[in-house]
Amino acid sequence: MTGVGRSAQGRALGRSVVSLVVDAAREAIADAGLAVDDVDAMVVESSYVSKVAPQDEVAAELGHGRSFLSLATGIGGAGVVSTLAAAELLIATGRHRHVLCYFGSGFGSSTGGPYDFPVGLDAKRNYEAPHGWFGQPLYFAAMAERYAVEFGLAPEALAAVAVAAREGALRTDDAVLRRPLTLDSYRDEPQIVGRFRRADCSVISDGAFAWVVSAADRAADGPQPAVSILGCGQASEPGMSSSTYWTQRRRFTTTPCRESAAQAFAAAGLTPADVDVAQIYDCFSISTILQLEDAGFCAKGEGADFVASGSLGLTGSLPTNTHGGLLAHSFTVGAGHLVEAVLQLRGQATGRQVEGAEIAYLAGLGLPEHASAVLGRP
Amino acid sequence: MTAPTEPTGPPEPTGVAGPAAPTEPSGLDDWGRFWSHTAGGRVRVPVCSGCGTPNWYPASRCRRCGAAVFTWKALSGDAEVFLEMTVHRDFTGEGRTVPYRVALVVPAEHPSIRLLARVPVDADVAAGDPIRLAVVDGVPTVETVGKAGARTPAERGRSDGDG
Repeated sequence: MTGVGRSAQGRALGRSVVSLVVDAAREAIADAGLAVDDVDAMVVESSYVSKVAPQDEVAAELGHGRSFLSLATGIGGAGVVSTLAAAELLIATGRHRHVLCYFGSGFGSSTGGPYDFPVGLDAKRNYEAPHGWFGQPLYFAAMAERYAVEFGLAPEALAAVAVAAREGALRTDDAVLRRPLTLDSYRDEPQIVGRFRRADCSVISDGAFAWVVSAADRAADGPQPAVSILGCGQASEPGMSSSTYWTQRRRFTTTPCRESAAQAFAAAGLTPADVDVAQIYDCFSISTILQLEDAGFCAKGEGADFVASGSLGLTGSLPTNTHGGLLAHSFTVGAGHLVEAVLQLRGQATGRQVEGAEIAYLAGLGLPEHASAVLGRP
Repeated sequence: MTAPTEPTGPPEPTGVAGPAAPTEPSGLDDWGRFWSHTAGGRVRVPVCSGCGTPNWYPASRCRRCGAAVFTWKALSGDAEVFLEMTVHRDFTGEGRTVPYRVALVVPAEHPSIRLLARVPVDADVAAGDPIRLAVVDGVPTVETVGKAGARTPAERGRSDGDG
């Protein structure tokens, strides 16, 4: 990975997603030491950004002046992380040298925000909503509820995830949510649904990130140290669709992170014990706990204790979501996590650098899909 | 953030009729058929006429054997609570009064599927409890029949296996 870039981040910027993506893409291309026309492929997440900021529109606004291959990957955070695997495949053909990837969010400025998407699904509109079963906070709170039934879940565990993310945001200049949060003040946060309080839920915001993946023989020529993609994994929940994944899934407290992480670590020849910094898709506090378990950082059912012991902080045993994640930095669906992993491995995460970070684990959730990547220092 | 403005009450019948048993109301899509049955006071789910497998959510063809004919069979109402939650903020965009409660329940005759049900705000009900799945005001609703008693998380079973 030769370049990364970011746009402005904010709760509601009132700008087109294309314009945010163009800002981030220009920065990433320059960061890689490339010209716009060096880009010969564009790979993006499929369910949202390929619709609101399609590759052709972004290319046109970038002034891109040559033919390029356009590809879209999977769903949400899984689709963001799997751009790395797709870029690797394209480069391995020998026909592509520099792949531009991006994600941009306009959820902060759109009418329905993230609640626009389930409305379009027949079962959610016509079966679930009439029961009052609607909205991502409820879907993920159901997972937390079942986790509590099966393993126990103290409020302090969810709070520990939210507090660690907020501490990261307070160390990151462009984080959207920078109001301090402590284990005490967490208890005063308004209740949302089930065990979730406001601090357990993702911030909703506008903003974009971009990244460039280059052929290894070109990566060394760039102005920045190139971060290596050591291993990737993609998995999905068998038999589940976006319509049914919450109520009918057989594995209610396990995500396909279990399979994608196993693939990524095997490809890298590493284990979770080798990881210095983790970037885990944290749309809700429970999401972090489940993926830490599924990726093998602790056993199933032990994630709550793992996070409650302070593991996730900058000086903890596994610094996680060091920029603040979805819970506090921005609702950029894992793209912020990906760029943060690159900055950590370059030693450029000013004010929040994990000293000597050599290996990063990146997890992207987009149920029923999941993607993992293991990244290495130059 | 603003919630959506789509109508979300029990829907008006829409769509084109799919394969159905002769006794089924015609002119309804799957969810229209479901709500038509609850309006009649019963919760019914589509069971494959070929192999007997319940298909939930409804599908155009049986997910197990591929047959395209289903019988909407009435549930006995005996069920167990898989989980229940209190909702403190309305996300449906229809101005629901909060807090309200909702549950996922497992019907006794089809342990492989889960149905949604409203829960009365004052009901003494928790995961693992046996309940009766009734229809109240046209919507599947939990009626308490007793308590499961104090069970540990392990005794309530796990849902993270591959089975």
